[in-house]
Amino acid sequence: MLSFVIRRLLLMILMMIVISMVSFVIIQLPPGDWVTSYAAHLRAISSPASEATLEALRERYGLGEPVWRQYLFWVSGFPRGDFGIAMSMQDTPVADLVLPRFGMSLLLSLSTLVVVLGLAIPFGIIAAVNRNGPIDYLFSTVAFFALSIPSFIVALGILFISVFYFGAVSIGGLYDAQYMGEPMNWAKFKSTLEHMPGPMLAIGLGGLAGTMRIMRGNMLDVLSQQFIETARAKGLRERVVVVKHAARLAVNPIISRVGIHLPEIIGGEVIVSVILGLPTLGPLFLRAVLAQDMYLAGTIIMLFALILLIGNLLADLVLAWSDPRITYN
Amino acid sequence: MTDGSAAATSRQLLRVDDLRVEFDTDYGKVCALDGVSLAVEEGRTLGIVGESGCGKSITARSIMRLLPQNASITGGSIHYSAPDTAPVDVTALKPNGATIRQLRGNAFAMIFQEPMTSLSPVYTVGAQIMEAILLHTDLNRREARERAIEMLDRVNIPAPEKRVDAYPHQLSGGMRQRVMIAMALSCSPRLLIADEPTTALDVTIEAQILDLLQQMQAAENASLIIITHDLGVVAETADHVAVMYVGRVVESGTVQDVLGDPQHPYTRALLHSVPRIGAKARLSPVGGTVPSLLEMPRGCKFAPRCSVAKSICHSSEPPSFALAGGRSVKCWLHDQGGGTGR
Ligand SMILES: Nc1ncnc2c1ncn2[C@@H]1O[C@H](COP(=O)(O)OP(=O)(O)OP(=O)(O)O)[C@@H](O)[C@H]1O
Ligand SMILES: [Mg+2]
Repeated sequence: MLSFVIRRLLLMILMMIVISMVSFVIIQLPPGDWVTSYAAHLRAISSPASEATLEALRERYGLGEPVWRQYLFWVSGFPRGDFGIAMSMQDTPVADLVLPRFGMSLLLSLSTLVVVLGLAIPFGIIAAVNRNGPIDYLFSTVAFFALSIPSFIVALGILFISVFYFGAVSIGGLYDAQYMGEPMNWAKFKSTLEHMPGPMLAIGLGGLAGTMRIMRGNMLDVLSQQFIETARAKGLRERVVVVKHAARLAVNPIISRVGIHLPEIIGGEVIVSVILGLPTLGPLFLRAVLAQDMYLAGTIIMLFALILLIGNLLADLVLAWSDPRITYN
Repeated sequence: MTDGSAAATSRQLLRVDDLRVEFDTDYGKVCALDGVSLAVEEGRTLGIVGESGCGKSITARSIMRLLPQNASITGGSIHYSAPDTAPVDVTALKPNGATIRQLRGNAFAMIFQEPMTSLSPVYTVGAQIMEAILLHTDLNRREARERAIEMLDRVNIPAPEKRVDAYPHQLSGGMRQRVMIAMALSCSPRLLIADEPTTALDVTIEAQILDLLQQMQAAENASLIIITHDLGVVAETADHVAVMYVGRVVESGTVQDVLGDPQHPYTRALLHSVPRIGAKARLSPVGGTVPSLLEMPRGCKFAPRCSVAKSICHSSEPPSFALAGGRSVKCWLHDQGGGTGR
């Protein structure tokens, strides 16, 4: 097992290297560079810059260099914790921009994941146990709608309701306006928690419905297996049979799906955060890509990739712990 | 089936009378069991034989009250009477209620056909055996584990103190069936039901498992119901036999009587290929096909396939006629008193 983890970690490093290259190249693919979009921006606010200024900027950021040299320059800073500077944001170091938002992203994604699983699994069990009963149909109908509403519509709906029905003053955000720019402290954290249910609903609703349906299917599968009858034949209570014997096995495919589910959550988080104006990586990423701010965008892509890889590794480990038939070596 | 049988009978432990089980299906109600009667004596073995789909498993599950959700017991009774407790009618118990749960795994235990899937893949065999022990006895975890190891040892599993921590997928089919037997017997049940315990196993293992079942049964003085397709298994293990055909017991009696001198044409057809009792033989196909539960013939259900059917056989169903020696036969050929049938 230990050797498996070590091998996976080594593989992860390799993957990260490949991802860093690919993402860097992809960001550079569209015609032009940050200076081009910067010049367009200056023209738009009618103070066009001279060719000479633009050339100087290109020189300064090394944008004229071949892509591989720019890449090497970027990654050579990683060991020092230097992820380059965000040209589109007054040369702020990328690390300073990204770190606090990374924390928020992680908090939001993980809480969404936990809540989604925490609700989807019991709902799936209840639906399966009441198969073809009123509760099952109710759950299925609700899940059907939840699955078909895109997350951005949910986010807009939340905005709408909070403004017009609850008279929210500050639209969006993940904490009260007064904490803006403050470092994380207890009060800010509490405010953050209070603001989270809305975004979590928008991000997680589809996944909740989907996971519930899958859990229901798994349960029906498992409940028809022979060992369930063995458990009943022992004289166990039906509740024990359902939870300890059926759900315990039915949950395994859900665990292995968490790895697949993570990109959905991260993708949903980007869209929803842009709409609700959340201080997470999503909106920053969108801005960076639009401005062709390659170091910033590249770093965020790498962080997303890192979350995915770690998430998948953890899911595999939990699955191995949960299902004794699985051995890694 | 009539009671009051001859000399060698001991006390009845379980008595099924006129049991009727219906299924709610997409095509309407179908009657899977229609008037099944049988009795199991203390410390004895009853074999139930019959072609696939004739209701053997449904009979066993009715006793355990483990019927599928769309099934219901619509008539008859299942009386269980242990020597030191008041008799209970199992059919009258609340499904999944405390009383039936107290009986399951404790007074009644069951072993299933598929050893590969009868155990949960995520718990060790020890944990699964202990579960029943902890539920039905006062033993604590350590003692229950001790008992589990002892049971594994008794079913001849080598290195039981190691195997107790093994997962089912680490054991062969034969080993798993031994674990099932150990689990079933861990609370010293009065009645053990084995539903085709060896069908999924190869022949050498089959013999070992049957031996083991009998040996354990003798040691515990438990009663055994063994369900099988295989007349050889019945001849080898059972004291009494009930032959089933589409949800009915068509002939029952001692193994010597029924297999040695079959009275029902169906039993004869089943035995046709067996040259003598004790020889192993699978059921050879009987001419014709089993009628569907949805399209039952009006009279005797076997009449369309029967070579000696009379006209009455096609028009009305025969009752069970009692013969000497506690036997009974559900066939008009044995109508001596001009019975009218049910
Ligand atoms: N869930 C169900 N719904 C409807 N009919 C069922 C259901 N389960 C069993 N039956 C019917 O009940 C009848 C008896 O089934 P049972 O399982 O008792 O047969 P069996 O004698 O054990 O056969 P086998 O030797 O194949 O195990 C069959 O005809 C079957 O079609
Ligand atoms: Mg069966």
